Amino acid sequence: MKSKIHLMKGNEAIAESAILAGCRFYAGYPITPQNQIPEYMSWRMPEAGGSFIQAESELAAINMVLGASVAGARAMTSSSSPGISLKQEGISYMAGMELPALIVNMQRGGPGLGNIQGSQADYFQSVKGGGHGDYRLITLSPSTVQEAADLTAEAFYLADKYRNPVLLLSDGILGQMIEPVELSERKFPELPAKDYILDGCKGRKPRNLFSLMMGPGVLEKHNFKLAGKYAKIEASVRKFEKFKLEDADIVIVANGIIGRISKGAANLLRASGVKCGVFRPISLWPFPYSEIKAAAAKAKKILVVEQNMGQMVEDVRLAVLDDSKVSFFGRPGGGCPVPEEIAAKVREIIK
Amino acid sequence: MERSLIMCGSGGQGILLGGSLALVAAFSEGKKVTWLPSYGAEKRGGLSYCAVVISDEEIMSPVLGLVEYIIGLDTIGFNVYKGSISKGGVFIINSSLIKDGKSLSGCKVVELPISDIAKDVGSNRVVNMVSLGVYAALSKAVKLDSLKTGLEEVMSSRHKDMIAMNIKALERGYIEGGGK
Repeated sequence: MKSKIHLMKGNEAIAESAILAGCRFYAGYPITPQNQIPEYMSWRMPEAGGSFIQAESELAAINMVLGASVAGARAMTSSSSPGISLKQEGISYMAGMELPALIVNMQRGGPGLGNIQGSQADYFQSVKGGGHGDYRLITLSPSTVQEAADLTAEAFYLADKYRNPVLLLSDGILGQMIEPVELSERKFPELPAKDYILDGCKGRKPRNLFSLMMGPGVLEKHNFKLAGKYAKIEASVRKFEKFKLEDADIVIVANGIIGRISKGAANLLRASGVKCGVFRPISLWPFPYSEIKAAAAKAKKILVVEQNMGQMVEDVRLAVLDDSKVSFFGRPGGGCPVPEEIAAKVREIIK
Repeated sequence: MERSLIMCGSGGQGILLGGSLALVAAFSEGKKVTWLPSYGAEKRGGLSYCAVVISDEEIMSPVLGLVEYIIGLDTIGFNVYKGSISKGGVFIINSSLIKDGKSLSGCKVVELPISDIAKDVGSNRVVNMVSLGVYAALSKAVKLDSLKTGLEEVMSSRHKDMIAMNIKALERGYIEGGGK
């Protein structure tokens, strides 16, 4: 597939972009609204010379990805919220073992089995832990099909660069919608050879990969090492979009699909003279605290909009450090606000 | 300028295919486009809809609040989306199946017996294409020729023999919508 603009579903664009980024192992278990990813991979991955496995469960799938990563493959899995909950053990193990992989979560409404509509209710799970232990997951949130494809490619690069799992956190709307997307093999800086993988030790010293570290002080030392790595990631991976912020009195902070819907709201508001802008975090971890703090300093009010009852708003409050400025508007359980609704909310808070 | 369309009705009326055709046709004219379907538990007879946005500029929201054009092919879609038409918008109504189109206010209502027209063209199955022809004539958001050309792309290979009838349906709808 040479560089050309295609009309593709978000799910399909993620799958093709993963192939173009060199992903050669996919394991997953079906769940709506991300089924087009395994469906696409089921024919495309063998065509690209890789392995596609429809696993017997989400647990099996994430552990197969762990195994493939141990062996040095660019590996990924995808699921939607309830399935991602099941994968948390494996994600924690991979974080402990410092294994790269891409995990895609096309969120749906929860808690529990919930529904199949788009949602952002897995924010806490994604950026505050999810699995057990003191680890961090690089979490990227796209707002267009193009950005989903671009971030998929970059996710594999970041995962390998930092030896850390990366989560692409999107939702059912972006997965199901069709939009033009340009797909091509992207160029990233050269990565060092993987000197930790288990690919047979003939002619070299044997290696091992563990997350169990029982010796006195060993695990603490490992956690300090991880913390150092996370600090490096926090210093260098900061992704966000600033939309019409220069003169904004009101700043909407929203990510993913709600980020772009909020841009629509900002345009509606500007047409009626309200100076509204949007700050759209793209990396949810690392979270762009200082950039939001700077954007908030010039604004009179901040409105955080999410498809949940208030999760990212906690990080925005930590960034702004002035609760009197920060309001929240949420639609939970698969509800999705439209631009007119967000604009009405803004008008309410500036009254 | 951003043009928005919701096509709604019941599963089996070719709502998703119809919306995809509008998407493909507008894209072929160099426009920015988004298409958002209903998905999941839909089945024949249940609610089906899709939202299409066509624009020269970057499209912000693929999720629509108040919509410029709504095509209602069945009462089930009409009842859900009758409140979603924008002030001054156009509601294209299949009066073969929807009897209370007159209840709408604040928008232009175009009532046409789209199912009957489709049967006259050759099959009730092309009800989606008749309505799209009407839409193209009224909205000028997409050209009739682009819709006709786009059929080749959106129709699955096992239905290629249906393309001729679909073209006739698009043309007939275009004329019914006042297009020349």
